[in-house]
Amino acid sequence: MLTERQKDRFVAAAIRTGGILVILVVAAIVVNIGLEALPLFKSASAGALESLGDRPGALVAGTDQRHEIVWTLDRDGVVRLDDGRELLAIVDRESVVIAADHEVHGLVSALTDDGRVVVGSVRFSDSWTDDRRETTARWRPAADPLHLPDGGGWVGVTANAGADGDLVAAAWSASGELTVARWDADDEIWRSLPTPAAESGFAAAAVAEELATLAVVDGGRLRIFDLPGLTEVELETGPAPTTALRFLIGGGTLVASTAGGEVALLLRVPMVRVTSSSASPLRVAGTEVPPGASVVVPDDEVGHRLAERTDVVLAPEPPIWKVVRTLPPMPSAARLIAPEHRRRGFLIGGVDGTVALYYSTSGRRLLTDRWSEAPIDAIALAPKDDGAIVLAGGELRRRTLDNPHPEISLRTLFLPVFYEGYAAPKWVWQTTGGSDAFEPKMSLWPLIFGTLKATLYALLFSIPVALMAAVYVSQLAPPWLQAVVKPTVELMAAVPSVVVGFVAALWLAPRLEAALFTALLAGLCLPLSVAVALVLWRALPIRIRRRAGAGSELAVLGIGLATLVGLVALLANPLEQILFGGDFQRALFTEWGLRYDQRNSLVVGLALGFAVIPVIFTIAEDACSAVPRSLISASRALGATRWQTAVRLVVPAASPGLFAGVMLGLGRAVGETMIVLMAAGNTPILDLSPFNGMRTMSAAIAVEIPEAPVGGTLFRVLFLTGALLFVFTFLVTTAADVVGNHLRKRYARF
Amino acid sequence: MRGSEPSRPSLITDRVALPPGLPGVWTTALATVLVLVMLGMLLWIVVVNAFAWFWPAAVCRVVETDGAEHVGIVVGHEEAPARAGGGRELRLQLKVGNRDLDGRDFLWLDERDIAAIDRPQSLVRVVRAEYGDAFGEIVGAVGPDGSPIAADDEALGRLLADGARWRAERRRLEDRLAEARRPLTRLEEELDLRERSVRADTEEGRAAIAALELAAGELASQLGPTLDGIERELARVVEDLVTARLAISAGDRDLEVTMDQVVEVSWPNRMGLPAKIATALRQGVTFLLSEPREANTEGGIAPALFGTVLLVLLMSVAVVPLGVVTAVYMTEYARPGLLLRLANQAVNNLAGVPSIVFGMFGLAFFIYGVGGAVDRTFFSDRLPTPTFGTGGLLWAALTLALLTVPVVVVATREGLLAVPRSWRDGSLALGATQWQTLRRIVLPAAMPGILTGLILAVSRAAGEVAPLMLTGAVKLAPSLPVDATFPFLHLQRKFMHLGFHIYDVSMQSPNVEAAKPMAFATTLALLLLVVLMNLAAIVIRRRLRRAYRGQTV
Repeated sequence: MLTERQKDRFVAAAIRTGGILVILVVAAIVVNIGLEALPLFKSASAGALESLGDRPGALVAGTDQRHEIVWTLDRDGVVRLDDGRELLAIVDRESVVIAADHEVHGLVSALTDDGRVVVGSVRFSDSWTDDRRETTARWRPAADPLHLPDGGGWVGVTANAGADGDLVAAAWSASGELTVARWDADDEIWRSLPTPAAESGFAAAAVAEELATLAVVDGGRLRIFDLPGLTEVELETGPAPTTALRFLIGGGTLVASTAGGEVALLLRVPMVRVTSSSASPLRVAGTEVPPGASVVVPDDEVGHRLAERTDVVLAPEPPIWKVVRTLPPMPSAARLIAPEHRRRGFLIGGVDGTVALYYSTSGRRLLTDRWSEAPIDAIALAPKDDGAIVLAGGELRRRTLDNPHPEISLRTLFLPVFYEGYAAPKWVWQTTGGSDAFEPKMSLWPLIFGTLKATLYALLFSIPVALMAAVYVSQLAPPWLQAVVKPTVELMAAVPSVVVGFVAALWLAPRLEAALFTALLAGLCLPLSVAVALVLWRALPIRIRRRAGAGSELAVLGIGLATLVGLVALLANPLEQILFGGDFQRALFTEWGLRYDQRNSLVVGLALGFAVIPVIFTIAEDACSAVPRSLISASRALGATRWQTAVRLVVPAASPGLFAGVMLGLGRAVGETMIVLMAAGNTPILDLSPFNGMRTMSAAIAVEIPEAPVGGTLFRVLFLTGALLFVFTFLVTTAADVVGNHLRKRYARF
Repeated sequence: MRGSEPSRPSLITDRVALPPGLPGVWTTALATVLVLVMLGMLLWIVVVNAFAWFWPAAVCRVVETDGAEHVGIVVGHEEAPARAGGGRELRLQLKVGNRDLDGRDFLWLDERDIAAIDRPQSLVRVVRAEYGDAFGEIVGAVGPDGSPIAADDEALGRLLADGARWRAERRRLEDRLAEARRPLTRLEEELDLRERSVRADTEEGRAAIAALELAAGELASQLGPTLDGIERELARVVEDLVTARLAISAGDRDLEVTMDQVVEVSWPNRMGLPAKIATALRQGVTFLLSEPREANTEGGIAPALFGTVLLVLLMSVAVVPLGVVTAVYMTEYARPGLLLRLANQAVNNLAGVPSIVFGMFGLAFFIYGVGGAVDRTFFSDRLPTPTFGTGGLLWAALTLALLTVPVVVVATREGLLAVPRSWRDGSLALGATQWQTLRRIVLPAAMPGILTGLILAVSRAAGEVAPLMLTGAVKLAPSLPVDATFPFLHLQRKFMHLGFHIYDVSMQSPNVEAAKPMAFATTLALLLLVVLMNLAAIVIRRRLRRAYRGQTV
């Protein structure tokens, strides 16, 4: 049995520990969320190099997704597995394979000494017998062999596939000839494509996935052709002399590397022809289009912006290719490039045995390492991009790679990035797309911008209203009104944000859309109702005014307000008819180019403002009421009116409290989720217009986290977003705290 | 009157210049009015729209000038899109129901096309289990034996009463069936989990699965006769229910409603005011107590209400000790210094952290961290199917508890500070220890403060949605978190929640227009819950303040 004293000590210890728990909770939140985001910034790492023995006859090599089976294609045309098994020869025994190429998704093309091209891939399939898995490998041809023209002296080959099973193969000869053919999967036939003329002899070529583009190295110069017509694409002077080139997954990005080890990324930029029949000159993508003229400009969301204009005709033009990024260089000349199969990364193998791992979107070089003393002869990534196989100096080597988040860097998160399919560097938040080749675009700026935009409109509305109401209620209103307003505002604070968001999105938004002009007019005229009320008040005889009780201004105001609303309702339609031909929204678009979305910043401003007002009001009102009575009495005794006292004495004295209120309101607006999720339309755009919406950080988290794979890049980027939100509100709350304390100290002596 | 400051009265006229600052005073007053008007409007919108969900509206027959006839409820008017040559005119929105006929619930009719609108007494509204409401006139009926029944009131009344009885019988039998089958169901669930787990391939896993299969087989043969008996009875009732039907004529189209689809049949046009009020009240109670139907767009909100209440109960259990201990530490035990300042900062910052960030913390820490560890330790035979490693009631409640700690701390601290110093000193002077003083004197006196904090925390938690979206709220939970199987309260289960229900119905429903009234009704329920709790807190706090006024000696 414990004595009372022991009990007392025990309880004191327990309570002290418990009290500190709350500090730990805050720390735990930061640490936990931060830890989830941290791996984003780790570089890639590689496992130990593992030698798989000498394979002198091998041309290309690859592995399965579990890294269990390694295969090589040897000069005799046989695919050999590392356990000694042989697959059926891909060519007949008499001929010899002299060159082979290994493309994205494991597509292998081989060139024989008798002028044939064989295209196919090594496929793996699992089968179970008695709960034991057995993986079998087989060679699957992608097309019939292609017979190249006789006597060519062919030395190199490459091929790639389209979604429908079509192929394009290109082979070049020592004498500088090139032949290109397309496999038609429906008719099962190879068709020759026109052959471009060489300037000084082709040395290497690459075909883009989806078969839209062919890139060749012509005497060290990079040349790009549009397929199937093989029209040459105009190209800015690229790096020279190019030694290796490869298209990345999807075929919209070309990597070119030079003898000097430079690594350049070229992107396909869509173009559009804009023909204007508008009466006034049109500015498009930085160029002026005179009336009646037509220009070709990068399709920089031009189509999106001009699509609704009837006086502008848009027509697609052939895309151009452009060097958009120069990556950190290789220490030696590049020999081979191996693309990732699921993302936009690639490995470059150099002439001195160096292997470097790069990523396109972020432009990061994640790893550089000597994997061999000899030049790299073949290199390929494992199907899940988590390991690599290299052939160098006749030796086959394997290495695992840990490279979970290569697409993220501070630059991609916060600065504009040149993405595939865009015409200029852009801030874009677009995390999921239709196809496997989609390039995730995770720029946080559109979300931060959206958050700030929502906050701005909310505060524009709520700060004046809440502060004025606070001053009125604490200094000017009669006591009975105080007793009514304060609990009412508390109730307002308690209204769940999902309710506010719901009413804003489903009640307010459609009504605002239907009567936008009336609503805007009413909003603008609102302050006028004070003037109307004053005129009414003045018209009353002084005896009545004297006798009128405290707070009767509210009644007069109410009448003023009602009069005004009536007037606006009456006048709005005719006025809209006169000024804007009866359709304000259309006028907005045609006159100022502003599109009206139903869920927009006005709606969000009102709804979010509704949620923020109680926060600001409560703190501001407390601060005003805390101004010592003695000061107020002194001011009144000196003959100042209540208004003068309020404005000149109370507001300055309470200003730190007002500031604290605004800060906490800001914190609330920034972190609010449900209202913006429901009422903001959730499009991540960078546009300050009040007539369209936004996607905020909080809404992005709420919508995308349930669908983001745990531990994936999107998941971690969203946690980073959460961490930013936390840090922001932490700073805001602390600022409010510090300033609030200041206020308390200042008036402690009264 | 504050506005009219004493000013020099004119001797010539009683019209005087307005005192300086009056525009300012009135502008600030306008801001105050605006705040009140906004809140009033919000409440008004919710109440009026929710009311429309409960009130038995008149069923109208609308005849167009071209002879087309529609039956339905007029739900709104709006300005019609301008037609060539015409000025502005109205069109009305008619809820025609009968979605099974052509897939739409609403019709827009231009007023100029309408020849006549009337409300015949014979029109009915049939609430159905599927496809929403049916409107029209009952023109015939078929009995359970397949023979036609006269469509007069008496025969119809008998048929409808029979139908209600059969449906009750069906529900009773279904419950009995589930009850009788429960041991078997649980075995099968267990078996399913084992088969999907990573251990299914191991020696012991296979042995366990074989044993379970054997047990399930035995149990199945044991229960067989009982189950068959109930199923036969059930089949008989269902047979009656699908044979007996009502033939309804809606304007120029006809449809049939089998008795198993009928939820309720009413003749709104025959009702007087008292009957309508009674119906509205009954609708309200049904709404609160019944299950949702048709992807949550119809029926009731019982599971969501239940989930919300259970969630806040669990949250209270967690938040009260944490909040009260923190507040007691800060007011009674901590010495002024760095630690106290830190604790103060922590509480303030916790209050400012966005709720979605709490949700992320719940996801990362509770679900993937703690939940994952619990699964690996205690439920490893079920992995990779998560038990606690996924969103659930417990994690959501704990997340909300963290979110509401500041509310409880602030209110409790206020309560503690209101207890006069002299009481503590008196107690200590009499030789009581600090703990005895705290337990016997201070805490009882601060009880109203703690209670206020709890109520405010509960009200905050009841309306919070964002963190729940990450920690386990779902649009339709397969089973309630409380049931008759051991351990009765299933903390790992996903749950439904009023706030999430509103979000889901209004944003993610396939037919938002039809779901809107339901969403408004749910909103009203949530608002009532929250507002009542807040009013209670305000009243308690006011009493607290009055009780200790003037005692701080």
